[in-house]
Amino acid sequence: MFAPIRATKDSVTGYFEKDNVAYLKHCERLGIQPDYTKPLFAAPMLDKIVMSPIPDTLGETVAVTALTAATKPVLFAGKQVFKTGAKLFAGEAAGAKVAGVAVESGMHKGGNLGKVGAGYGGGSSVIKQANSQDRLQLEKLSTQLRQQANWVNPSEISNPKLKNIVDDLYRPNAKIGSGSTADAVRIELKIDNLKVGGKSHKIKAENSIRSITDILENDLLSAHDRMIAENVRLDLLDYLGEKLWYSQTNTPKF
Amino acid sequence: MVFANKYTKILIDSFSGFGKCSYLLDAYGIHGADEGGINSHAVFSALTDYVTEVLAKNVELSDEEIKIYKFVDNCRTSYANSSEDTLEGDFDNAICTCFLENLINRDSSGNYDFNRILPYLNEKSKEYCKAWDKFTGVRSPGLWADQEWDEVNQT
Repeated sequence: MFAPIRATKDSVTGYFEKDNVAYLKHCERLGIQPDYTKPLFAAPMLDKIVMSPIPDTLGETVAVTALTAATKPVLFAGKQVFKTGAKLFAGEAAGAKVAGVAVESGMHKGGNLGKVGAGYGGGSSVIKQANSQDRLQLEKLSTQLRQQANWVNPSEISNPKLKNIVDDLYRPNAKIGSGSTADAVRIELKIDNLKVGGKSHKIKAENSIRSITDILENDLLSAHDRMIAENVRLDLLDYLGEKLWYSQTNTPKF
Repeated sequence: MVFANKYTKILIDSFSGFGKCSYLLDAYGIHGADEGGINSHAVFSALTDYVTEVLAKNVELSDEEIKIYKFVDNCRTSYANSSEDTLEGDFDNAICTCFLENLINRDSSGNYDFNRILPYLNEKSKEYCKAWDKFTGVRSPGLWADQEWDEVNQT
C-alpha cells in the first residue's frame, strides 16, 4: 500500500509503500477511487517531481527520485514501464534515490513536512545529493512514461471535450508505439519524409495543444481529468525540439 | 466566421446542421482568431464530434450523414495528390488526420462504428485508413482482406 509524502515548492509529492491509511484519506479528500495498480496513479506524481523546481547547482540537496533500471530504454513495453513507474513511488526498487523529500507516514507523522532535508527512513530510500545526471534521468523516465499510452483511458475522462480530444489523439490497443498523434509527429521529425500515409500530423498536434490548453484554463476539471490533460499536452509538446523519443522504432538518444 | 481555407466554407455551407452545432462554435472560439481564420483541421475535428456525437447516435444513417461521408471521400479522391502547401492539400490533410483517422480511433475506443462510413469510402480514403492501421498495428474492421493484413504483419 502507499502512503503519501508531501512537499512544498522545493520538494515533491509522491507516495511510498508503507500503509494505506493516509493514501485512502488523500483519495477521499480528492473524491477519487483509490487504485494502486494503474499507472494513472504514478504518472501525475512523476510529473510533479519533474515540474518541481530543482536547483541547477551540482551537489545542492534537491528532490530527486531516479531509478536506474527504469531509465533503460523500454520499447514496446508500456506495462513494464508503468510497473516500474509504480515502483518508483514505492521507493523500494534498487537504485532509487530520494533526497530532500518530506515524508508523512505512519512512522514519520509531523516530521519536518515540506522542508528540504527531511528524509524517508524506511526501505532502501536514501538521501543523496542530486546532480544534473539525476535530473536528466528523471526527465527521461518522465517522458518515457508519458509516451506510453497505457495510462490514458478515455472512458475514465469525465469532461466530454477532453474525452473527445483524447479519443482523437490515441489509437487504443496500438501495437506499435502508442498509436498517438504525438508519435506520428515524432516520426515525421525524426525520419525525413516519413509521414503516416504521406500526411503531416503537426497541425493536428498543434490544434490539440491549444484545445487542451483552453480546457485547462477555462473548464472546471476533476483531478483525474486535469492530470490526463496536462500529460497528454506534455506528450504533444514533447515533439517539439530535441525531446526524447522512446515509443517507436528508433533507439532513444539522450 | 472566417475560414483559412475556402473549401472549409463550402463544407459548412453544404451542411447547415454542422454549421450551427456547438462543436464548431467551440472550435471557432479557440481557433477562430488565428491569422486567416479557423483552420480546416479544427473544422474537421469539430465535424468528427458532430458525426459521432450527434448523427451516429441514430441507428439508421441519415441523408446528412451519408452526404458528409460522400463529400469527404470526393474531396479525398480529388485532392489526395495535392501538395500540402496548397489549399487543396491542406484540406486533404485535414480530412485524413482530423476526420478519417479520428473516426478510426473512435471506433477502436468503442465510440463510433467504422462500418458506418466504410461503404462510402473509395480507394484514396481507404488508402489513408490502411496507412493509419499499419502505423498503429491495429486492424480496422472490414478494411482489410485477411491475406492482405497477414502480409502487412509479415513485413
